[in-house]
Order: sequence, then C-alpha cells, then structure tokens
Amino acid sequence: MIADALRSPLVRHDRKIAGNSLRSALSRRGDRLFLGVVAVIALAALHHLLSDRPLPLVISLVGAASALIGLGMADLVHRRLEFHASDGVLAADALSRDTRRRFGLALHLMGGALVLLVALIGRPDAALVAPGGYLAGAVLGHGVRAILPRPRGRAKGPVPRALQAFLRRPVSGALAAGMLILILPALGAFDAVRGAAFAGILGAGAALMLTTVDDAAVRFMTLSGYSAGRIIGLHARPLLLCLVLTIPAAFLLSRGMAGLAIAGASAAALALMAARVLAYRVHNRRIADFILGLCLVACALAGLTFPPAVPLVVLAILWGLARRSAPATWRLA
Amino acid sequence: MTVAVELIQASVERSGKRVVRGVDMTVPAGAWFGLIGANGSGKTSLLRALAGRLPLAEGRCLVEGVDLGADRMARARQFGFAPPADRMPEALRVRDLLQLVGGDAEVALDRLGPVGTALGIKALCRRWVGDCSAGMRQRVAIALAFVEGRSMVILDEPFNWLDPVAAFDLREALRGRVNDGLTLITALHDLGTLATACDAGLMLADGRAALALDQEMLAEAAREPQQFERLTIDLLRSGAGPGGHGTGEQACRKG
Repeated sequence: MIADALRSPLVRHDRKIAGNSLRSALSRRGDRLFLGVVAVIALAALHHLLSDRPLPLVISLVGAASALIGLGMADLVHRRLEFHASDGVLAADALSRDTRRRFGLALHLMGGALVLLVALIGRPDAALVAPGGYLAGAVLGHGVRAILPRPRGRAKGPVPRALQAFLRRPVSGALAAGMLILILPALGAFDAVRGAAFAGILGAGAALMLTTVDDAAVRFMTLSGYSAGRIIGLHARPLLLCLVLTIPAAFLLSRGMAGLAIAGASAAALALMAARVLAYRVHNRRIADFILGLCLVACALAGLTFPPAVPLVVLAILWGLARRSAPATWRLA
Repeated sequence: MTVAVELIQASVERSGKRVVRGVDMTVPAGAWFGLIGANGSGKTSLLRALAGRLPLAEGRCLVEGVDLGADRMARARQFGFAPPADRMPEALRVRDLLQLVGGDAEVALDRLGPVGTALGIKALCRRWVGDCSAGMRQRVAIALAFVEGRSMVILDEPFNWLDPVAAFDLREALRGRVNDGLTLITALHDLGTLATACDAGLMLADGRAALALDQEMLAEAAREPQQFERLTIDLLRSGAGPGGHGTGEQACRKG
C-alpha cells in the first residue's frame, strides 16, 4: 500500500519537481555545504534547547509543533490536489478518489517521518508524541476542509492588491512616518527601554508593510534590464522616505532610543527585502522562499549563539545572493 | 451525423459567479469544432468544464451518448486537453512532462505524429519548462493534449504565441488529424481559421450561445470571408446575437 502510494502518478510528478527544485537551489557545492551546516547546527541547537527542559513541557511542545505541521501538510495536500485537478497535467488522476487518497497518504508519510526524525534528535524520550500530534493535526486539517466550503476566488482580491500597490508608492512611506511621529510623544509614558521596544515593534511592522516584494514584478523588471540595485532602490523608496522623516523627528522629540530602535528594525526589513529581490531575480518563488528560509534559520542561529555576528552573516548572505543574481539581467531577452 | 459531444443547458461557475449560462452545443464526431466569442464570453470556462477541469453547475454533458455531467474524472479521461501554458511546472524538462502524461517519452512522441513535427517538439525535449519562451510553452501544452492518444482533444486558443510558420504548420497538421477521425474542439479568435478549417462552431456572448455555425454556414464563410467577418464582428460588437445579453468586455466597461 505504501509502495503503491509512493508510485502514484501525482507523487512521481511532485517528487520530480521537488527533486529538480532542490538540485537547482543547491546546485553549487557551497550551497550544499551551507545547507548541511545549517541543518546540523539547527538540530544541535534544538537538542540543546529541549534537553534541559522538564519532560511534560517538552511533550506539550513536541505535540503542538507536530500537530501544526500535520495541519499544514493537510492544507498542502488539498492545495496541490486542487491545482492538479484544475490546472495540472494529470487532472484525471487528481480527480480519482483512489489516486487522491494515495497522494495524501504519501505526503503524510513523508511529513510524519520527518517530524518523527526531528523529534527523535531533539528529545528522544518525547518523540513518541510526535506521530500522535501530527496525526491529530492532519485529521483536523482534512476535517475542516471537508466541513467548511472551499474559499471562493483567489486569496489576492482587489483590495489587498490595491493596498499592495499603494504600499509600494513613496507616499505610503510619508503616511507611515506621520503615524509613527504622532505615536512617538505617547512613548513618554514608558521608561526609555520599554518605549524603545514598543517603537521597535511598531517600526518593524511599518517597515515590513513598506517593503513587500512581488516576485512576478521582480522577474519582469529583471527581464526588462533592471539591475538588482535599481530594483532594490525602487522597492526601498517608501521605507527610506519614512526613515528620513521619522528618525530626525524622534531625536527632536527627545526619543533618540526609540528612533534607533525604528532604524534597527527598518534595516532588518531592508535586508530582508533586498534578499528577496535578489533571490526572486534568479529563482521561482518556491525555490527562492526555500533559500530565504534557510538564510533566516542561519541568521536566527547566529543570533542565538553569537549575536554580534548577525550583521556579518546578513552581509555574507546578501553578497552570495547578489553574486548569483548578477548575470540574471536580460537573461532571457 | 454521429454526435461526439452534446451539451444541454450547460452552466459553469467560477469563483461563485455563473460565467456560462444554459449553453446547448453539439459537436459532430471526427470534426473540428470552433468556439468563438469576445474576451470574457465564457469560452475557456466552457472548455475547461467539458474537459473536467471545472464542475458543471447545471446541465447535461453527453459524451458519445453517455451523460458525464456529474463525473469530472470521466470527462477528464475522455479528452486530451492542453493545460494552461503559464501554469506548467518550471522545474520539469519537456521530456519529463511528456513521460508523466504519456507514460513513455518515445511512445508519446510517436503518438504526436505530424502535430509533433509541426510543433517542433523533439527539439524542445531537453529544455526546462522554466527556460521556455511563451511560444515554446504553448507548443508543449498543445503536445500534451495529444500524447495520451485520445480520440477527442480540446485546445484553448492554440495559435496564440505561435509564429506564423508554426501556426500554419499546426493548422495543417490538426486538419490532417481531424480528417483521420479526431474530434477537435478549439477556442479561436481567428475568424479566418474558423471559416476555412472548422466544420462547425458556436459563438458565445456573455456566457450564452449567440450563434450556432453549421458546415453550410462555414462553407459559405470560406467563400465570402469578408462578409462572414462583417457578420460575426457585428454580432460580437452588439454583444448579443439571438438571445444574448452583452459581451464580457461590455460588462467590464459597465464596471
């Protein structure tokens, strides 16, 4: 039954895509080495974090995390089947009840095995909770899909699109700056550190909103001859305008710490935006997001183990992505 | 006349909105059936529903006399269908796709016959889909409709993106396959192809059947192409035809 599931046409189709995508994302020896090092350090850090915690707490954490992954995998199974049935090349298979079941079984077997493996490395005596948690999450995910009607239309409706378009215009940066400057005097109610933390959170929210990246637009600009620097510059305009207005205002209002916190959060958002632009220039969204996820894990590990190294790690990542994306301009012209 | 496909009062919904309403359509076996209409008139939705890629909201769909209206899988198995060229997986090679759909790449290429030659598909086999231009993707999508060797094939605007030579060669190859017994259903914007290559057709306007075109009408259209163009353009412009209620484009303009 398991062998049947793994040989089903839809699984072969998606396995081939996943294999090719991985090979493309990790085409250089340095990429594979980077992935290996990040994976080993991440698993070691997980083991270290869980080994000293009380067992009941670890069991709860492993169970909850496994359930969430099971829920996510159930959603992935449904979304892939919907794609296969409507736009895929194997629609008839995707509409067959038997093939759908085998596809779901194969994906859940792979997801469940991965969760169990990670749990075994993280904390062996709590690992047996993982399959149960995963199963509960998966059953819940499929149950919700069976009961609730499918969402109609695409997730990106006209309002979010309009909002996204507005957020990419510099005027949105001025608007965000105005809102932050209005909030700054109210931070006087807190001590300097809490005020700065609050400002940092608000600044991070605003910065992330002002640096959204549309992968299709980046690819189009790349094919049209825009250099990486120019695309990043265009994407950075709203946030830079926001900073130009907010930081001096913070110092004028004697909220220097808050200004620095906003600047720090904005720098992180700018780095993330630049990394996304560089990755989307070369890879399709799925591969680019996978690479960016690895980069974020590397940054998080650096932050946990040796925080002063984070800026260097970020610069190294941006340098690597920039090198890889440099030849992309006019690639298909 | 043997009927291959018959739609009776077929309706299709997309995103909760009814985009095809009560369409009757009869496709003769071993014929090239052309579907024309303005942008947004429901051609693609109707073809996708026929090929099982969308459910039918209402109506019957008789394929070789069997009602498959409620069975999407059976419809998907009956028709060869060109998938949307822009949704094909970029991380696969063209050969991988032919193999996944046709079972074996060499057998799949054999099944393509002259259509494969017209599409130049052998030269594309080693290419990644992600590295294909829009025209190349269109060639691959069309090839995928033929690699399973179905006797009925649905193509949505197959000549889009193709260069004039490829479009000419493909039209000839398709006509040859139809002469050999293939039932071909295509959405078209090119009235010349409709008049000269198709055996029957239907004009859609605002999701409804506006004008059924039989062999006699199309033969007359081939003799008097300018008059036929004037007639169809007038109908498309009026957006109605008998029983129609405005084109999708007009609906868009109205907001």
